Amino acid sequence: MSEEWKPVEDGTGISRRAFLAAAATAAVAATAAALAPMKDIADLPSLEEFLRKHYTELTPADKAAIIARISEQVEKKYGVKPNLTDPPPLDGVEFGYALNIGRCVGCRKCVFACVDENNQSRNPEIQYIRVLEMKKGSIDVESSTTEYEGEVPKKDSYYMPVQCQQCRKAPCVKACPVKATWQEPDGVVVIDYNWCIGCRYCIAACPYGARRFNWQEPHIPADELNPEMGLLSNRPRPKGVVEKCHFCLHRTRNGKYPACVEVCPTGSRKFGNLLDPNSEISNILQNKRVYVLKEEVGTLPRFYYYFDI
Amino acid sequence: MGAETPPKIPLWAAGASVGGFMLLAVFFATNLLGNAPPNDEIPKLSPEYADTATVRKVRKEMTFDGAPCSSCHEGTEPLQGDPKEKGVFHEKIEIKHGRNQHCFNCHHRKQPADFSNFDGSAIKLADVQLLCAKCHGTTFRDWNNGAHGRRSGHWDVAKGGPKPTVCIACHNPHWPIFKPLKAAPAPHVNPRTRARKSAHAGAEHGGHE
Repeated sequence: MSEEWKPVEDGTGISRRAFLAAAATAAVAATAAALAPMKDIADLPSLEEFLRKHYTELTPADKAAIIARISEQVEKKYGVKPNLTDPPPLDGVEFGYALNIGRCVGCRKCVFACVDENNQSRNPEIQYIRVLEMKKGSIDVESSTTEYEGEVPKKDSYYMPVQCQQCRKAPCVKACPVKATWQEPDGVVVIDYNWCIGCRYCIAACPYGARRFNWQEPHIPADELNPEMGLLSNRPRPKGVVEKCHFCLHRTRNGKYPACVEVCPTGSRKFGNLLDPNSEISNILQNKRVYVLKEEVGTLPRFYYYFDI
Repeated sequence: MGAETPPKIPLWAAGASVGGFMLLAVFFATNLLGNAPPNDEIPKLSPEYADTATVRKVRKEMTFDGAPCSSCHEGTEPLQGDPKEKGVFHEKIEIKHGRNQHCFNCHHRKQPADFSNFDGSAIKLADVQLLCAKCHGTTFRDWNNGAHGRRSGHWDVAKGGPKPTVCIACHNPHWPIFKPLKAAPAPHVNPRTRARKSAHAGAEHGGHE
């Protein structure tokens, strides 16, 4: 072998040792350059955060520690001391929502009241509610548009806002491989933002397109942060998790209306306790013409659309 | 022979491999691929979008151009004196209330600050929903049950219950059909393609290229 291979003898070659040293140095430099962006990772999860249990397995002491830790993180990031709570589901309450499709004018105030209330990312923009502009006489959501602008309502159009339907048989809950989303006793499908692995199976499973993914670090101006926060609802979400409408849990479990109900200028949005026969929602279900979106997929939503005539 | 003298690496080969690594290092360090394209600038939330105020303001008292009714109407009928001398007129009130085009269908003839019921008795401004209920009975029923009109406050009766808004908080009684509203901005479904798209569509969002 060595006879065939004729080493270069004219002095233009370098020794193997020198070559290996140079190549190794260059390779280390390249690796260091490639890894350099990792120095910008500021907030690695703490050990407690990393070893945290699933929300449903937390003891009250665990929960208090988590609330304290998240409050501290929020205060550090936004300079606002949040009032972070975790209101429990109420006994004898099952939340229901009704939307008067004949009254909605499509002004999108609900969308922005929701963004404001629930600390949704402004950039990239995350909104729980999509208002579909539908052709009158059609119920084909495929031909609807969400991009309309200017004065509303437009001629020959009606408006159908769509948000999480809080299904009784929620496909997203079935799809989640880690049980990071589940249904609470009051009927609200919630997400444990620390348990979500960001696989987005739930987004694929949801027939209503109601779930949103934090593709980037959410950006919320500090002066627009809503300090009234719930652990399972509107506390700032980390990057890489799914979020969606939760009927404003931090408000509704304290007896208040959701933000979208309170802002609707036409009074199209109705909310209440399905188990209370005297509530406005029970009255609507008994007396109005009610339909649910995509009834045929069998999700049994708690979100009803109704009209007067 | 080869066993005695350690083999030399040809300079071009050594240079190519070391240079390759160095190029990689420069490539990573200067981030030649660049960062992700910047997001379209999304304007700050305008507070008007989340404003829970009703479309109209509800007055506590009946006035016209700031003056109480009694400054012109003495509570007798017909109106005493020449209306032109009194300065303000009701002619500029536009009435588009279907067939209901007569002032005294709603307003009381003798008590100008009140409204008129079927039997001629007065309905106070605070109970204005009873006036509307004279004709809009089914809507009044729905309003009572919570199916019509906006409610705020608490859904939970134990916590204080809902606060209904009266008819005239949303409907102009003289022109009751709901006026068109200006829609809040459309969703920026994909902030990265939005910039390109709106450059074609025109500068309706103004401010960025």
